[in-house]
Amino acid sequence: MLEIVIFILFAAVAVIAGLAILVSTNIVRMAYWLIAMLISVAGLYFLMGAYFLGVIQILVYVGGVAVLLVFGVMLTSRQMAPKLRPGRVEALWLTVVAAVLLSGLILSVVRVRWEPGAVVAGNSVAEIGRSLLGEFLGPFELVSVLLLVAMLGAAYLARPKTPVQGAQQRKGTTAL
Amino acid sequence: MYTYERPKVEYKGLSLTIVRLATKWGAIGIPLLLRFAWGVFFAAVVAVVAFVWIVGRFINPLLPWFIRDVVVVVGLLAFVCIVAIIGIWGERKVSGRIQSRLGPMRTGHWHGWAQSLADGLKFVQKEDLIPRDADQPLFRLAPYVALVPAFCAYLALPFGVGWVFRSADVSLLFVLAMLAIEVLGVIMAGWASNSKWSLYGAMREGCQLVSYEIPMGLSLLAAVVATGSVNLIELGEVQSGGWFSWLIFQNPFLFLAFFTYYIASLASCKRSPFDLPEGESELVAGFHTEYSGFRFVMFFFAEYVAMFAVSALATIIFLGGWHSPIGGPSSPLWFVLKSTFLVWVQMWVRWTLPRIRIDQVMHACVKYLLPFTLLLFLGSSLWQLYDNPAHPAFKTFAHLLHYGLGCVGLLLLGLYFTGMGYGYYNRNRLVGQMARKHLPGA
Repeated sequence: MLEIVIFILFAAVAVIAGLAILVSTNIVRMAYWLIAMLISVAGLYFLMGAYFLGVIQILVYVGGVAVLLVFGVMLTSRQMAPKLRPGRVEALWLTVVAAVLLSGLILSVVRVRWEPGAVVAGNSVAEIGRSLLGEFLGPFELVSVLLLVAMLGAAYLARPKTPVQGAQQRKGTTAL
Repeated sequence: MYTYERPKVEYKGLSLTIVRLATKWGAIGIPLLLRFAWGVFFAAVVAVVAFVWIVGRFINPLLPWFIRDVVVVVGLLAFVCIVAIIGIWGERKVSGRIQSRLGPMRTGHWHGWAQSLADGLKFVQKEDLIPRDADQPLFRLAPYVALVPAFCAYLALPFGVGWVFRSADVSLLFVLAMLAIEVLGVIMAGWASNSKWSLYGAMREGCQLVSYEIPMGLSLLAAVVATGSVNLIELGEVQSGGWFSWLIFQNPFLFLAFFTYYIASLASCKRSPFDLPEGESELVAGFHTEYSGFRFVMFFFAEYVAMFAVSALATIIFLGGWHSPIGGPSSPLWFVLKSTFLVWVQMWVRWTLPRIRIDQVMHACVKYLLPFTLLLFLGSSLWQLYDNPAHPAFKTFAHLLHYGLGCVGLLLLGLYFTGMGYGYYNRNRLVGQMARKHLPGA
């Protein structure tokens, strides 16, 4: 009983926050709604007993991605808060893409034979670590290479396009 | 003769009502309560025990656990508030002593112990100002987003075996995650204030926290590799048995990892020399420029609560947690004592070192601290590979190094106490006539 109440609480927050991302036009508020959604999904993980997953969700998504998101928003915008409103063509495209994604999601939910009853997840950290560095070592390493490539790409994009004025003179005087 | 009379205004508001009721009822209630303090205490204990027993026996066997949770959360909240209140007062006293002045001396008679309470009362009564062009909901929400995660970190923080709200398998990661959320509140405050000084402050804070989180986590990982657990209770229990079994002295990489963790934790709590996000004197106070009254207090509380949390983490992981250094019985008091010592070192560092510039902060992290902690992590992993019975020669070497590091630690502690004694012996040399009369032993 209590579990259902808590589930509804977290799920409702997740759904409301997800809708609010769509509805709001202020990009920073969108970022904060996204964070609210991610945290309530982490709460659902906690409810299911997947503590490691929930904690990692908060640590990686909320702590890292969301902060970077807020940063990106603040650094890229000239005004304090750019309004985001899709044009007509964009709206059409977005509807098509969203419809395809939603139908795929619904199909997969309907098609899969769900087993009633708890699946014993790889709950303990030691088990997850062993399977990451044993059975799934290849994919794990590939993902880390992918992340490295992404990081290099980001550094390449973020470099100054023209040499910074006065960087040469300052170099000698910098304390570190 | 005309005398100006102020128009009578009925001030309203929840906080003002609380203060009025407190002063009205407190004047009668507090002396009565003090008169019968022990009686009230025992009556309360008996009532709670009887209530829990009846509930567990006759109504629902799970409800006592719920009541236990409520009691523990309230207790933790009280502990956190006491930490913040004593921390703020202590900071002012420490800064006073380091700068050869007294700090707060009047409120509460004994060394101004009630100064924080008086400040809190004053802040509650202040007008709640919100800039007209601010983003109202986010502006109001920000202090909670800063304070609540810092408190949530305590939910997984063990004070001893059994002295923990929830003992989870992943408590270390949980504490780190909660400390990582705090930055969102700060950025929210800076952005919602709609003031460029606040926004700059929030940006500095965001830069700094996101970067220093990495060396902080990596230094802790070095310890995790050495023990093979991310459960804080297990991490603490590994170190039972006195000074030399503390994790910090286990190998040289862990010894250095403690210091890198401490530096990174200074930055993550916005403490000097990394206190650029809120440099009051030079940088227009940073992200909380537009905040006043109790919302400002909540940011302040969040800082002190996080300070104690990171010190507690350092205590559990490196400094033996709740175990005593001489091998006696372990107790949560040891844990609180060691964490308080680390908090005091944070204050000491703050009033000793000058503040560094933001580009220097980033340089120090990305170019020096981060590669260094990566090396420490690698070294700690390799050490685990060789520190086993299969390599007897290395084992002897490791054993010698372990005791050597313990002796280095003892030497540092001895130096600290020597300095303390020297300072106490020469306590009259630097301060003026007025200050000297109030110093201990005068």
